[in-house]
Amino acid sequence: MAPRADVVGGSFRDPAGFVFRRGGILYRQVNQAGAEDYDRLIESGLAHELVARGLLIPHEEVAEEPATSSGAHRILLPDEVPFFSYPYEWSFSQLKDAALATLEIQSVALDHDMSLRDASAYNIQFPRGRATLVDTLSFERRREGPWVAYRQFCSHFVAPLALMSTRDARLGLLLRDHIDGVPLDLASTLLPRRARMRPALGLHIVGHARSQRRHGSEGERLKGYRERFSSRAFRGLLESLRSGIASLDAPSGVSVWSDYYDEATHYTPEAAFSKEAALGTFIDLVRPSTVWDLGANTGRFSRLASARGIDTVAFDLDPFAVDTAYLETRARGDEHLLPLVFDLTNPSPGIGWANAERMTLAERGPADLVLALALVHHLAIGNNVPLPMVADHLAELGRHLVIEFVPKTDEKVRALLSSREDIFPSYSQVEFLRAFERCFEPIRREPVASSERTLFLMRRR
Amino acid sequence: MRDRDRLVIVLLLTLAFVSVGLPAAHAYVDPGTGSFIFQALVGGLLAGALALKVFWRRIVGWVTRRGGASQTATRSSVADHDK
Repeated sequence: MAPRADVVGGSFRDPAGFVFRRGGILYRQVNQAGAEDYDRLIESGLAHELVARGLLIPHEEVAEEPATSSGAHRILLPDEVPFFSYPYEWSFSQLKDAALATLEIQSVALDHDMSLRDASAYNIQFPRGRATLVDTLSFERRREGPWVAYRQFCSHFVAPLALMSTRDARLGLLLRDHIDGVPLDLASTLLPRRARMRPALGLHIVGHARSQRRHGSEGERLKGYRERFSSRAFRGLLESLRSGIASLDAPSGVSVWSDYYDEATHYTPEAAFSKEAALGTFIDLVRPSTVWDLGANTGRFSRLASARGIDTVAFDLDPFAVDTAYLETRARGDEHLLPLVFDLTNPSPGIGWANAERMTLAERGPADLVLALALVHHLAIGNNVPLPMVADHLAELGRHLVIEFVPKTDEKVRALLSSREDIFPSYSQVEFLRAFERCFEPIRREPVASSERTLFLMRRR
Repeated sequence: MRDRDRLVIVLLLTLAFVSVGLPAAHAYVDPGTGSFIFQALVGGLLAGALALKVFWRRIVGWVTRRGGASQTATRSSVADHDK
């Protein structure tokens, strides 16, 4: 009997193969239905070239038992992706880099007489800090006619990028409601008039949406159209998409959460140094292999972990802060830091079929170490989450916790309470410890110099 | 008129053609079919736009090389004169 294999939720649609997990290791099964295209991918040299350019996840063929009793062609062991993120958790620049990587992959594939048969943003991940295709079975032999993945590319990339760039950065969250990309008629409606006049957006969103509406029932006529799309037209389409996306600027403006930006700036240099030193000591004590920094802002403290070679995810709800963090990460070539847009008070849900295609945050954990720096007062006072519930959830997310307690006398808590009634009599360090000691065992504590704050290191019970 | 403005006009005319050139659908609508047909309709235009872009880059490259060569030649002659 074959050892137990758990098929991964989001990979049931593809007859060419699927992903499964066995003994904590992720494998990809290539079915007989996908054998010809997979073999061509390898034999044509396309896989080798894409891997060498950092555009495709490397893999090796292994002699692992298939997940199904029949129909298997190969079992692949892909390089590990430290954290699977989703397009609705990416900032503008992350989605833009993912789009440009997809187009570059398609362009290289054409050189090898192959093509992407889907252009899902979910096929891209950021291992080693770079947008990388992780679905090795996305390729097929180039078929005559238009690009079968064009609609998906426009809905997954062009539409959300255009809306984020020209309307509002928060519209990237539309991808959370629309798992197969933003419908083009919706994007066309939301696009500002000036943006509709831009050639690429007018063509790939507005004109495309109209064509979908007008010609959507003419399936029987496709054969005639197939011959009207040459290889030059294909290259022209890719270049039009590439230049249109490359010309989109990152959204600008000040978000309603922009006071989060200032969170670190009100520290004195001495306090910031003290906090960094204590955090560094705690990280070295725990020696985690994964760190999640919740409320990371632009990732200043997350970098203490990533600089030690620890795979670190920096979550923040402000898309501008996350974009800044990503651009800095990319510029530094930091391979271990992944900034993501994430609201802990309304986290990514399980979405798709049976709510199981895309995972919640908790399902992607737990992390070895969770950082909750300057966060607890936002949850307990800013969002009325009782301290025991904060402790319960953080214990679900991480095996260890570094948490900063911010007392009511702190300038930031006073600011939070300035416009509301103080209905938080139990918000104190004593009650904080009482709530957290139910789930965690305190290991160390360090006062943050020149402030009234304290950093605690705890281990989950 | 700049190339970009010309391109906008051509694209808008294409959009108008795509929008009104064929009868509207009333039955079951598959967005994939509309996307497929749309590519076929605009494919020729995009192939032409790419050819123009490549051609333009070649001209710019040629002029830049010529300018660079003549500047180098000028600098050489000045240097020769200084000797």
